Amino acid sequence: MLIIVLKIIIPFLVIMQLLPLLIWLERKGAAYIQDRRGPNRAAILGVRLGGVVHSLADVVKLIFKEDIFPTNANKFIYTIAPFIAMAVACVTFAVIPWASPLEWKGSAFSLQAVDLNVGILYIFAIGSMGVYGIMLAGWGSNNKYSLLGGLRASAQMISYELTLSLSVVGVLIFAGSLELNTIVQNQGSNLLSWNVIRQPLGCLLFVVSAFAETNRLPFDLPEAEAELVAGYHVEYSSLKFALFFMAEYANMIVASALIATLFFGGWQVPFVSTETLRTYAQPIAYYSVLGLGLFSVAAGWFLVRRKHKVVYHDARDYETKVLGFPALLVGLALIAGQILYGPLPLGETGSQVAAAAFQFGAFLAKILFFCWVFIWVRWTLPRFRYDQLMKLGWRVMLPLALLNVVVTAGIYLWF
Amino acid sequence: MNGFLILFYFLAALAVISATGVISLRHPVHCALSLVVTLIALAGLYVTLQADFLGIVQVLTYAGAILVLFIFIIMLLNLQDDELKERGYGAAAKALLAAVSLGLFLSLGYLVTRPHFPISALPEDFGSIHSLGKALFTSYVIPFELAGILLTVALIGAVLLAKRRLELK
Repeated sequence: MLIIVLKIIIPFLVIMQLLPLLIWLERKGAAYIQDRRGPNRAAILGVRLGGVVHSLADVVKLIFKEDIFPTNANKFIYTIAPFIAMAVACVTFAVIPWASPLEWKGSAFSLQAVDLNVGILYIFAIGSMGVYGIMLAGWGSNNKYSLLGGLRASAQMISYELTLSLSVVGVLIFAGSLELNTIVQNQGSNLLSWNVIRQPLGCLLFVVSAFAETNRLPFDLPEAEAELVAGYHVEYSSLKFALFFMAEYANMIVASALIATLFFGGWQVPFVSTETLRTYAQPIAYYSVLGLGLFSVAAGWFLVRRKHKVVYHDARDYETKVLGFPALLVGLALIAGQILYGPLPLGETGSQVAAAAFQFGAFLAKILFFCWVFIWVRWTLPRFRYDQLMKLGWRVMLPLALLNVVVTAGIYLWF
Repeated sequence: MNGFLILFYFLAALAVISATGVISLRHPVHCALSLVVTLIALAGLYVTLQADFLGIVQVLTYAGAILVLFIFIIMLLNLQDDELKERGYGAAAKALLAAVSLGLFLSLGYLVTRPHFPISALPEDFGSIHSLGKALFTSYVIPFELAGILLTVALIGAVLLAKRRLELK
């Protein structure tokens, strides 16, 4: 029972921890792509962490803002819409596998909340509920811009859902299963057998429709600020707006996790199979902790040695020292511990857990990479016009997806 | 009482209450939303009956696609409050409708409570997509293909109807 509760709560907490990081990444990424500095003012006792602290300031601002109800808005629907948006984004994570299943006392212990027989369909079903959050927000606000945003969202998401589901069929043919864990295991640890190589067209179509489904640029027509002010969430303020904001990033994480799982080997560490990881868990753990210590020392040394510049005349001037010294000390402690005690014996369970931790790290790295791609694209490409969006969805993407299904099935049948 | 029974009662109550909402709420958007809740509750009931695939597909197609289009259309109409009048049925029509509904309810209840349905132990892979796919493409291939043709015909018909109107313009 406790394990089930933990399995449900831990992925949720992981998303919640990633959200502020992603918002920071978005702001910094946008800034550097546009040749600016990005958030660099908010500080706690002079510590700014390169702008991460700004997310905290944002949270405080959103909590203390006035919660406005527009006149004639439908209260119930107006209130429930952001909750639907957020809940849908979080629930999807239930079926995503985080690492290779552990073998414990003869039975497999899967590292995902539920190992559904219909895994990928569950994700599509929940994802198709996501449109309700945006639609109801648009309709319930009683505002013409919101309504237009809601209408666009429903038309766009339904159109691209077709391509999204069809582009996965090729992957399912190869894996012979809808379970996400089987799909990941089927891809193996060899980079060349990942689905991105076996299904390049399917991967491209999936990524493009994932952009459309998450309403990210170049497909962010539901909130196109140049035409619709902010689209479906124009009337929202305070924590309700925050929920929409968080839902957008949570959806991005889900989409990135799906792209990684379906096409980029999920939790597989490139070229290192689960068996290898488990056999060599002890030296790998030893050297990675050692490497972490060395990195921490190097980073700390770099920060501490920076010239002491008096720019702000307050605590911020000492930020490099405040961050640098602990990093240096932690790094030294890690190295000393590793050298003094040597590689610790891990045992059967320990090596499995260590291997799972590495796979989790690889998966998280892939997720963050694709989140970065989302941000990168957003600040690089302009927005589609609405008719271009529909033409692309129905006349280009859908036929290509159907072609992909037919060709993949033919290849699978004849070879 | 075990967990499944509690879940069943919860989902069944949710389905009944929201289904009542579909016919009794005044605003069409609210009715359509109640229908969404009904369909999700029914999907939950399917899952408790081990028909995972059916439950998921119910959510995916009905709640996720068809009702989104319903609500899309209702939103496009953008009905104001004064346009929503009470539907004035006469007393005779109301009585007739009530009698028909009651009759339907009673006959369904009779059918369900009779032991007409053979009950046997479920096969191992009941409700899984493998067994479902096998059944669809072997024993039930003709009805399956016929349904496919029917849907294609409907799709082509819809496209033709939409196209003709454009040409008239």
